[in-house]
Amino acid sequence: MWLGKETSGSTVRLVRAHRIRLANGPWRKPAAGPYLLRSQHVDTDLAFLDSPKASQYGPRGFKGRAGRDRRHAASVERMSDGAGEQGDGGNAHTDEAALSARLKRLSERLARDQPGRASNGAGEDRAASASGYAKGFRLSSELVAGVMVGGGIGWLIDHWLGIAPWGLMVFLLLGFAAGVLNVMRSAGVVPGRSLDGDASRDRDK
Amino acid sequence: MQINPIEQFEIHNLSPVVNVGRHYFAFTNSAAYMLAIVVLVSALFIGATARRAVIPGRLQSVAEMGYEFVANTLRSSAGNEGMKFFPFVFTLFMFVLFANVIGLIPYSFTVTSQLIITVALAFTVFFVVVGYGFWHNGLRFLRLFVPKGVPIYILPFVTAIEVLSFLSRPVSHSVRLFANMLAGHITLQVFAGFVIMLAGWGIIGWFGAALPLIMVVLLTALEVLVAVLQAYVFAILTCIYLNDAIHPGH
Repeated sequence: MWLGKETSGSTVRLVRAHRIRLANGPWRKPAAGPYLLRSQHVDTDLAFLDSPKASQYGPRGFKGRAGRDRRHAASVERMSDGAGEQGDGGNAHTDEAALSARLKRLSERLARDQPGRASNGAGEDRAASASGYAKGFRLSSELVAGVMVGGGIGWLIDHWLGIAPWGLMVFLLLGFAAGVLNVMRSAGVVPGRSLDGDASRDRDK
Repeated sequence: MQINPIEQFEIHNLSPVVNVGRHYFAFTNSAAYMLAIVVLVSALFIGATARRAVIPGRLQSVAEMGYEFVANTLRSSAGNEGMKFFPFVFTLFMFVLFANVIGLIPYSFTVTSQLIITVALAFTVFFVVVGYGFWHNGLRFLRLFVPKGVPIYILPFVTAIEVLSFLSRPVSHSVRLFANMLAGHITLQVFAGFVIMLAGWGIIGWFGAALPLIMVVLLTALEVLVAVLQAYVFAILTCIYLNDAIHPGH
């Protein structure tokens, strides 16, 4: 299925990635989707997949991995007997190895900068979002609250200043924006009010 | 047989109505349940702390777990400075928890399914946050509404949105608890009503009634989860809001 579908330079790596998983753990059928999605479950192995000599690829200072990974690399050689033709694009391999390494560094940096997001499942956050039901209720109430408060303030301004319908119009829209902001904060999509990377505290707003 | 799923939320006067000026006061079933909650929580913690043993008994373990749970929640979201609000948060948590759980007992009244109660609790939190924020930080508290690093020409809009977002907090804070309890109790009552209606149809109805009966059992389990979870959510939101009052925008 894999070989039949894709004949680009990355095919070889895909096939191998998949065989490594076969060799080291239970076989998981990769989901259909773009290349990066497929290879996600073998992400730790990707950096050396293209060649047993990993040191030529990857980011600066990447000297290849010793020990365990060498063994993996050897198993790649063994397992990928038929699929290992190297001639079809060493360039693409290099780029992809560098890309995966960069992605990995990026995720590491994100994890360092936003500890709350990395430890997503830890402790209270998991308890607070234990059921999808509760989560849905939380998000919808945030949005409704924003719109209601905006509409209410707009209506009051109209009532007091007699400038209907301008107050209601403006504040309903602002309230909607505030509601969306609430929802995004509540879902942890945007960092919270405390602006110095303290996202973890405000996540559950 | 008619079953009214809203009937359980009706408020009855348990005492004669007292007229003070233009206001009418009466001791209602809601007030009775609130009193019962306060008495129960007080009795639990006074009883648990009466005999302070190094090796805690059952009651003392419950009290210690409750204390540690709330204290950890508060410390993790508002820092050690937040511990001065511990009595406040703990009282709120215990009140909401007991109200929710007592409301699950059949034929009982759920205090937190009344919007006015949850609004009162949420506004208490809101005014504590605003009051302490201004008292502790002065006008620096207003920096909460002015995000850093926003271009000057959209800053007014962003600030307006932030203010509205802040003002909408007590609404979502109260509506969430209220709606959860109300919806859960109505759902339970409706499914229980199906059981009774179907059972009135004879043999076939009995088999049909088994399905909503299973549903009611499952929903009851879910409601126990929701009752505890919502009390926790109410408490942790309180902690997060207090954090804003203690450290506004850092």
